[in-house]
Amino acid sequence: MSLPFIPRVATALPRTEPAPAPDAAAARILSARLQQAGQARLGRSLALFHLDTGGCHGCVLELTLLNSAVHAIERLGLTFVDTPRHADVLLVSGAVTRTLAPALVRTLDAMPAPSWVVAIGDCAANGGLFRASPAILGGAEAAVPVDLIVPGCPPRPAEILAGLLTLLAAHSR
Amino acid sequence: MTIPPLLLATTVIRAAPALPCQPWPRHLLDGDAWRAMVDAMPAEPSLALIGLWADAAHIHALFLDDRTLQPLAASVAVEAGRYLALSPVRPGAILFERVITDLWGHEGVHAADLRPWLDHGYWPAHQPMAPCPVPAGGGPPPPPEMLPAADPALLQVPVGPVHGVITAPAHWRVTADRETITRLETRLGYTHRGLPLLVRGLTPRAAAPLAARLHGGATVAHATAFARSVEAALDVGIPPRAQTLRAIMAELERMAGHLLTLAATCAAAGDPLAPPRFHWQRHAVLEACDRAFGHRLMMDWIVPGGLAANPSATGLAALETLTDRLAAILPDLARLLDRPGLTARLRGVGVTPPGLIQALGAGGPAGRAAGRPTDARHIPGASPPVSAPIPVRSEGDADARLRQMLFEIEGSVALVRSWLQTLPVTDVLAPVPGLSGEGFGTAESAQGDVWHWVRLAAGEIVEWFPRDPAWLRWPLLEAAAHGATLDDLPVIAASLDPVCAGIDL
Repeated sequence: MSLPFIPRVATALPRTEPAPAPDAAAARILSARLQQAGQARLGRSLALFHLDTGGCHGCVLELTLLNSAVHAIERLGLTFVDTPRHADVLLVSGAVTRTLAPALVRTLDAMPAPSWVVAIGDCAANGGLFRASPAILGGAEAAVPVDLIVPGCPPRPAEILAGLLTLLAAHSR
Repeated sequence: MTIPPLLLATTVIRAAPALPCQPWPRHLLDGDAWRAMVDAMPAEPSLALIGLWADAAHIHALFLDDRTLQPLAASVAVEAGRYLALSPVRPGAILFERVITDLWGHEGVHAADLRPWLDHGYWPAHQPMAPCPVPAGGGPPPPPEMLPAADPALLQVPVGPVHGVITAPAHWRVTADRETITRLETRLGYTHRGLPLLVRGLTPRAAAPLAARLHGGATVAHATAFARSVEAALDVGIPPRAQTLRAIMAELERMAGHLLTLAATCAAAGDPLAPPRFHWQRHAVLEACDRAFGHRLMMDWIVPGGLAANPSATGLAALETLTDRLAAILPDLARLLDRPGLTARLRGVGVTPPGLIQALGAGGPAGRAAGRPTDARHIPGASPPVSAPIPVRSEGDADARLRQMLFEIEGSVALVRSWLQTLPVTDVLAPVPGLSGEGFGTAESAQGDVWHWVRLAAGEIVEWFPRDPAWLRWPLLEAAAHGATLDDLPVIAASLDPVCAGIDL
């Protein structure tokens, strides 16, 4: 049957199947199980957004490896997202240059609350070896409030992951 | 018909008085000779510009004669804040000239582009390297000045410095005619940490960690080139064991760097199969480096005079296991690149024009995949010598670059295996005297040739300039993107792997 006011071509297009009605009995059982498992087990996920603010690129290399099949962080509830508007956590690597500081502040502003800032590496922690430079503002703390520091130059991917899992554990509490 | 100039640029430079600088003298040209050199350069395309930098009173240029692989340095005095620019005859000079103006305040006469590059107006003072920096005025600086679209119908897309992927911060301005890129213009400077200013007054040993952090992906190459420049300036001979271990570390860094570029490019091309394989192998390389040197990127091992420490026998055994494993798996990795779906996505994509490769003096796998057989490991006097001929491809596309890299990994594995077998048993560190001098050093990083120049007075650094291959990779990326579709841009960018840290200083 074709409707008179819809062009034939539109009705010929494939349509998504309508969703079935939920099984009320199964929903009750599932709801009870969810409450038992609690937020601690099932509410654990964090969306990550990365910004390098003036490092040597070493932390970027290690973060790239963290975001690969080697660590497969999605299985742990961690996902890199491509916009700060979808992110819970801002990962900052590198000392904050005066030139990039405004962009760092605006990136955090674009993130929905509640949001966390994690400083990856010694540069983001306190400016590292570059902190005496007039071109450097300091560590990430010089521009945005920092919640967690992962020290190292650069920290190993496993160390970054340990830091993020700590945040995850605190977040789910 | 053009009349050929009477003199070659090389002849003009060599005729000028040579100043003491090791291992290659620096020729001081007067204004007329510099002008004659610039005039003669179009007739001598084999004279590649490696770097252009300055100090308070002079402009310095380093060239490489591609026919002899002999470096050649020339300097000219700055007169009333001005010098004759090289950018009209060498396009690779454009970024160097913009940086010279930003850092030292010298202005290139007839320069092709006078817009700022590193200085976005946020520094407390302009021209921070000059004897008297100019304090910055108040108020927020204007946004970067980018080239306008030639036609209002064209679409301009600004991207960065905040990107949606894990990468270095740079601003990309893409001008597109529907799906076709008519221009890619990049603007860097966001990660300028002021390294040349920070090392002033430091001893070479104290400056080594900074030189090693110019670009983390080429930390071994930069630390080696820096150490070699100091050792050349002060005439320090390093122990043979340190020499060979440095070379082994450089090859390990090359393997890791190439594997990352392979993974990133295949991922950008939408291939699900190859990236995890390359990432796993890169992980294996970094883990072995961690076991041998206690640091995955091998930072802070290479210092002027040799190595900071001697790696343990168990650590070196981990490297042997690694190379055995890689040698066994490399044929499998090579087959990954032969799948038609991936090949179709990489062939003919991001072609670097051969004329531009030569004009920019671009090296590394990008240069070698496009017909320029330059490799710093083959420069006369390199140690330990690498004697195998330099393989070169001619296609210059993303596919050729990836195949070149995989081929080079094979070479690196063979070199590391043979050097581990013949590792000399000596000390690893020679004393570095607190003397004065001037020197050049070079090394081949995964991305291309790295060059360092240093001037020391009484054991302290007076001036230093490092040249990372990224100086040529960004202009190369802009050229390779021209005429490409928007979909291809991530593939082109990943295969050329432009990094900000090394060029932002």
